[in-house]
Amino acid sequence: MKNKNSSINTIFSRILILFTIIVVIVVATTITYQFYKSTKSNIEINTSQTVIQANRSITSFITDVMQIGDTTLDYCTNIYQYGKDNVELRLNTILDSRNDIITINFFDMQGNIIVGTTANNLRDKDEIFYQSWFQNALKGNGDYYFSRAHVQRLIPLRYPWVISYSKSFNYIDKEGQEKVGIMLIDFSYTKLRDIMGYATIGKTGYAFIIDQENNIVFHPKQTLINYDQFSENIDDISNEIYGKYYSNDNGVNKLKVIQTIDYTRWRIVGIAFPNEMLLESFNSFAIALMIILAFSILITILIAKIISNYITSPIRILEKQMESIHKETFIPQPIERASLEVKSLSNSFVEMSKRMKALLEKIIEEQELIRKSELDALQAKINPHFLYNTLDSVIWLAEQGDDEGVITLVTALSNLFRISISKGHEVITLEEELEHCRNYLVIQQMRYVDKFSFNISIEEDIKDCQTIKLITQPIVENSIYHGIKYLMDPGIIDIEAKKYDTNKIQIIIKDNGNGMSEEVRKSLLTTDKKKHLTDGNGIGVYNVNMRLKLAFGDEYGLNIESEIEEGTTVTITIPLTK
Amino acid sequence: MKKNLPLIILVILLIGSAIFWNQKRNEPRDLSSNPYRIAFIRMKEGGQFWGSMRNGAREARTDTFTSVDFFSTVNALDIETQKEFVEKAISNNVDAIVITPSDSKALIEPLKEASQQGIKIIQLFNEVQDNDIDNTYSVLIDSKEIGVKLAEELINKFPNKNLNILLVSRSPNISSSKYMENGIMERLKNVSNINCNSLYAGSDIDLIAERVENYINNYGKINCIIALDDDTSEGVSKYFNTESSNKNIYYFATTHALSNIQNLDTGIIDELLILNSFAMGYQGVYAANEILKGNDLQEQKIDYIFVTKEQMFDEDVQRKLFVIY
Repeated sequence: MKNKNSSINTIFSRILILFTIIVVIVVATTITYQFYKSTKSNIEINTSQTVIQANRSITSFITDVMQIGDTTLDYCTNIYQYGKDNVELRLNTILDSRNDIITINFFDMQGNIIVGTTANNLRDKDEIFYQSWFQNALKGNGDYYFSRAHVQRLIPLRYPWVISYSKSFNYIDKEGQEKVGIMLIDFSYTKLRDIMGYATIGKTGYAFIIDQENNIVFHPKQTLINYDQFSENIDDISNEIYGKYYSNDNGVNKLKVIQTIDYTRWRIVGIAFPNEMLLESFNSFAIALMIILAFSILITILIAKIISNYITSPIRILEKQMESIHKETFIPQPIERASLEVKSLSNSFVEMSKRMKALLEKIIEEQELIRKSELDALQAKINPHFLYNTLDSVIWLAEQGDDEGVITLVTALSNLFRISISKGHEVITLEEELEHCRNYLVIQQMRYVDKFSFNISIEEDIKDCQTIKLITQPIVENSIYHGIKYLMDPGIIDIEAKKYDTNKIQIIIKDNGNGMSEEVRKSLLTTDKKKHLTDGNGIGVYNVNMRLKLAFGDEYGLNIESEIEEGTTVTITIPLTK
Repeated sequence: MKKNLPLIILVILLIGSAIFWNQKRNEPRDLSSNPYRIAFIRMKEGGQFWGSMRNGAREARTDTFTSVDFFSTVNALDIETQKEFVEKAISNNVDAIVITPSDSKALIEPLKEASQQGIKIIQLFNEVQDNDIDNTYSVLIDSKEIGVKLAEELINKFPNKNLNILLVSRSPNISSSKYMENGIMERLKNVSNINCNSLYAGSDIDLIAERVENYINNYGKINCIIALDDDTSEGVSKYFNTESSNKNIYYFATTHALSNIQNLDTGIIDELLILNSFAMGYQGVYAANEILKGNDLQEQKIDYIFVTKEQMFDEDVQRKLFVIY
């Protein structure tokens, strides 16, 4: 827009592209806002669903463990009814069928083993008695207890990471007395890892499990936590048991979805990173948006191009027509395929061109007339001058009684005028022109008796060549008046017409008169008409030269060579035209 | 049309780039395309201590998306093989070498060469004795401080007892055990009732056990042995498992190798020094990645604990002692 020389095409394209960009941005902003809302909602739904699914899987597993507990508890409660070996066999059968169960053991109140899968190789009863799973089961008074992840401390020199499910129970001892015992089922920590391994949220989100005291039961980054390379901030959800919460941990926005796991008093916490997930989704969205934007701009450019071409191409044609108007052969044509305005402009231009052409032709015609008038005027200047002198000679001859001389002179004069008039024709044959010159010389010879002689020769094949008339007589006149008139000896004038080059004719007029100085020679052909008029010299020569150049062009005309006391040679060059 | 040609080309390029970018994004992440390739050279393969170090490095590799080539010798004192690993890492055009030098002198030249090739060097746990090597960063445990603490532990435990301590380590050219030895010596030099001697017993378990036995037999007053690394701990434990061993010697071992844990559990080892080798491995790779990215690094302190049999199942201790498989 800043460039004042921008074409309509460019301006139109820019406006259309700008408009498209604005429309796309407005639409994109609206869509982006809707996209943000729906993506955020999807993140919350997906995170919740992941947590729910993980919760179901954990619950299912816990239910399994509890069912195993209930089943085995029935065996142990009636151990002396079933028989200890039989119960042990059944426990081992269950253990063999489940690779996620590490041990199933039953202890008395002091920590002595009653029956179990690892009954033969256990640590000291005191070591067992003071372990948290034992004490918590004891205090629970029939309620079950799920421990946090810990290293099993049952079998010497074995240290598997387990989660303990323990519960106090009543059983009948050998003596038939009811006693309180503690059931322990240790299941593998890696089982939780397997279940929770599927609970991934986005690329970096995860889920972990905390107990009612906000201690971590399971975390996918447990090893990093153990070795102090990672810590989980659970302060803000320590009192929450259900729902979703947004928090900002050290500048990182997190979505925390919490659900309670049945039976265990554990809570499962899903951590999602909404900004990261939004950004990830937005990247795809932004790319799609960019593609749409790019396509829109491309299509807009093409449309703008087509439309602006439709509008501007007739204008361009008109512009070209205007540029060609100076050519003589150019004829503007009205533009048919264009808008109404351009058509109107084109028609106006055609009309204008026609009028200009007519005016131009008229001007040329007028100029031609002016030029012709000027020539006629120049030509007219010869006649009175010469007529006066000739008539003076006739009078003189008549006074002398020289009738024959009068006849000759008048005849020559008559011929002279006949050729001069030439029925109004400007162009005559070269032979006629030289005949005209001869008549003139005859007249002058009679006037200046014995003063000079002359000779005229013409090549046969150029006699019929065309020339403008009265081009030799003024030269000859000059030779007589300014060259020969004052000679003591008889003068000679030689006139020769011949072909020159292939397409030119030279008429060489040579005299042996006084000649002229270089200054005079140069002044004869000068354009300074005033000088000629003032001096009265050479106006005829100048006129001949002018006429030749007007008639044939600048390469034609007169050439004068002269030397004082030696004579003058004037060469007339004209085109060879038949 | 010519005027708009650059704009059209730009738009076409924009569309092409967007499609290409989108395709690249949808491709599965290829670790080998990560710009940073790191050689992780441990001085020994096997055992819980070195395994944890490798696991730490793996975790860091996952977190940093770097590509890590693991190298390790079977024997901790196989210096020539470790040199070859450095040469191989150089020829592999790695960006960084994370290394636990097995000798503080012999590894200087290879590491200098690597440094001159523009490879960043991260020295882990041990270091070489040359401050002229450029492009180096160290992830070290404060071994001297550990030595001082260990000495104080003994002073407090045996305030009035005459102690003749034997410090057993692989070699005087392994910086971690040497610094620990220096810390112990420095702290005990003015303690009148404690005498301290060093034995460099190599890395062969049988030879260590034999050399310790010979030393004890020759200098019968030894009543405390401190093994400063995993190999010597295993060797000394082997000595104590022989019937002829002196069971009255207070035995302090190092690293959470499974055999050490079991010996602590059975009472052969009286006290165990646990070094967080997982953190070392993790921080080593993490540091390499940060250095390569041009980020400034703050010094990372690697933690350690002293563990007795009574403490080994404490919640905080078991996390460091027992590896989750």
